Amino acid sequence: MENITNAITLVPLNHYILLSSIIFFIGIIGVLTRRNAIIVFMSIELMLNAVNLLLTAFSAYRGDAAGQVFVFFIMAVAAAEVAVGLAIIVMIYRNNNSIDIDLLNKLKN
Amino acid sequence: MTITQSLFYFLAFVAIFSSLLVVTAKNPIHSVLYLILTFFTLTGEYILLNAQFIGIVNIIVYAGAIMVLFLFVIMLLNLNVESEPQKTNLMKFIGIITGGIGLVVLTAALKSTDPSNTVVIQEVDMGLVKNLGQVLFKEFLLPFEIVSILFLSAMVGAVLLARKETK
Amino acid sequence: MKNFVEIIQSSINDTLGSWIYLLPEISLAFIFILMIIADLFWAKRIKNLVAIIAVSGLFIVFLEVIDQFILIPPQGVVLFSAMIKLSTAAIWYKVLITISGLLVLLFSLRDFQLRNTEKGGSEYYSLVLVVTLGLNFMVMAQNLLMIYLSIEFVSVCSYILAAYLTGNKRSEESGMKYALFGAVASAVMLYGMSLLYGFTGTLDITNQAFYNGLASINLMSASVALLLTLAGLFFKISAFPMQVWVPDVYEGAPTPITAFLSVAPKVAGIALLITFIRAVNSGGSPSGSVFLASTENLLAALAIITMTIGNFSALWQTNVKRLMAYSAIGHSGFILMGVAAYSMTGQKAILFFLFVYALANIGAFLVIGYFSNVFHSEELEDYKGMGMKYPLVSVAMVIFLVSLTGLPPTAGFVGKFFIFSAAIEAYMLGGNVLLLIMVVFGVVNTVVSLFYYFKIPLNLYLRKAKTEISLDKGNLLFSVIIIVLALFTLFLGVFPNKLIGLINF
Repeated sequence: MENITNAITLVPLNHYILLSSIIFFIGIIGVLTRRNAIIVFMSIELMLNAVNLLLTAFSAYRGDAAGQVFVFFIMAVAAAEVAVGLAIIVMIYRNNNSIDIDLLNKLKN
Repeated sequence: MTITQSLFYFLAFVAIFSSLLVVTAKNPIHSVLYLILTFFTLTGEYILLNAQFIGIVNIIVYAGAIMVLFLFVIMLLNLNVESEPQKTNLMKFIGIITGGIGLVVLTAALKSTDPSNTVVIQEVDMGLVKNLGQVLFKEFLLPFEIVSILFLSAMVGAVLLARKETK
Repeated sequence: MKNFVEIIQSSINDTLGSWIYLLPEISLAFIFILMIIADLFWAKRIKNLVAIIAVSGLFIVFLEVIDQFILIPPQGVVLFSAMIKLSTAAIWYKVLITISGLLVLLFSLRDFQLRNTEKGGSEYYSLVLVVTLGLNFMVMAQNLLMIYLSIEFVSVCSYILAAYLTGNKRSEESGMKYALFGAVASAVMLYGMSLLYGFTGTLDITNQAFYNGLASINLMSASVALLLTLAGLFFKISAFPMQVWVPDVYEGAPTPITAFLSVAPKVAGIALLITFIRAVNSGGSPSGSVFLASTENLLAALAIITMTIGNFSALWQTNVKRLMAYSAIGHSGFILMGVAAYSMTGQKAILFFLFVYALANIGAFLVIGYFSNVFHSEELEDYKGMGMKYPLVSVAMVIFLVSLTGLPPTAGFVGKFFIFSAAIEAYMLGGNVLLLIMVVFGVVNTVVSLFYYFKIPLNLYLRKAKTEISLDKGNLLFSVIIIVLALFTLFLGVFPNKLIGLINF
């Protein structure tokens, strides 16, 4: 245990922030550039995972367990959100035979 | 460079690389597999941060449950490379530029915070189930109960929407 | 082991002491479960059983919420290790949310589309109740985790409700768009929250450490974290730049749900925004918080942009639901004006405005639902000449629209007057010129809104119907609720003190 503690000391907090920012923005790029609704949802999962990493790093840095509990809740809520989102995708596919979000244009002025 | 330090940078590299592949892969199935790889590298990062419980839950819940749901839906809908719609190159370019500018702005804004601070693990057994469970059921009791209702309603809704009606 | 026994003991004591304050929420959860069970076993035998449970249950919850005014001490109670705070202001928001929930349930009972959907109506009512539960937690939340959880609670259930008409492509599209935008907005908000947690080391926004932590780091980093967090709240109240989803979702969703989404989440979002802004500005130093000027400027600028976008885009709409969606964005801008002129009178003005807005907006959507039941269309074209055929409902529609515009003698005028005077008062005290510019924009936008609201009565009364179309019979329940709401709108316009006298915090 003691070894791990000492070794961890050497990774700066900034690198955790940088890593999670990069993953977060890869997720945003995915949301902006893909048309397949499922891939868009996967990109959102990437964004949430970046948040989870950041929270865990801050939690370890602060020595406060609340951050890790927060991660636990994010995972739980993400599961509920994905379940509903995928149900909507299945429903749309059944009626349109496509999950291309650019084809969703019945509502336009 | 110590072993854990080099492990951090190695895992970070793999995480960035595989998450790039998630958003660029042509085949949706490959995207799912790369996303699972990303989850595994992040689990490695959690364990390096001494957050063992979160690491295990990440594998069980994310890689085990959520990604299987994704895989099921992709296979159910029979999606593959040919049916994959593509945005025009201009839209892709705009998306990448927007994301890149956002990243630069965010990094610049956060750069000046705690420049040389390193992550020191203060309580070695903080991330264990025992400790987290105490916090969860003491301070976070109310959110825990609310999540149960959220799950129930999400389940009702998901079954309702995805079910095929027999006339 | 002994340690655990102590923890469990104290936790049980804490919970037993707190549950009395959560009576409405606990009742809502039980009614939800009861409805699912009732639907499973007895729905075939007794017609409309689930709807009856929903309406009567929500009415009981309404009485319980009213009862809380007597229950709590004036300064409010902090519950569940500072997760939520029940204050008089929060109870007022809960009253408003419950009333709009009740009206929407009655609305849904006779809505043509909902009655004829392939899924049946029973899950619909239980989901409306669950959204109400989430909104109740939203107005009380004062911990970053509770804020995230309650917002997500409301969002996830709203996605289902927006997509409820499964055969209907517009409803599906509305649900999909809502889910995608909502998920991205919540991820962005979470990123901001995790930064806030990292900077301050606490999740409790009323904790002094929260403000101190934010004030001690450099302003750039703190503003990035705050802006990202606010993005999630702006999504809920449909303020710029998170307002793009509103027209599509409002147009495609079932009309009762549109009425609900345009009122209840906005009320809860504003309550949460006020809690958040207050926490950020709770500096201990006598000169006030370091963020005071920047939050004021930000909110004023966003209020200007939001109302301008909403009102000017509404000018070109031909679909009534879409027009009302843009008008809802415009109203978010007006409410943000009140939040920017943040003060105690400002908060009272916001609450009164929200009351008036809720009455008029739900009323207007009820009329849209009424007409949609009669001739199955929401296009402005088809409203031609209907004013003579359905005189009472059309007169009520005119009253609602006048109130939304903010002209006397309706309640909307008083509401807007309070918001404007709160903004001017804040300008007098602080001397921020942006607040004055905001008021000028508010007046200009009120005039602009007159043009598009006027299009509806114009079509109702002055244009002749082109062809004779077959008309279904109007609904008696709808007419009664519409007329009652219209009378209330007039009553509050003439005697605003009857309500303002009650609002006391």
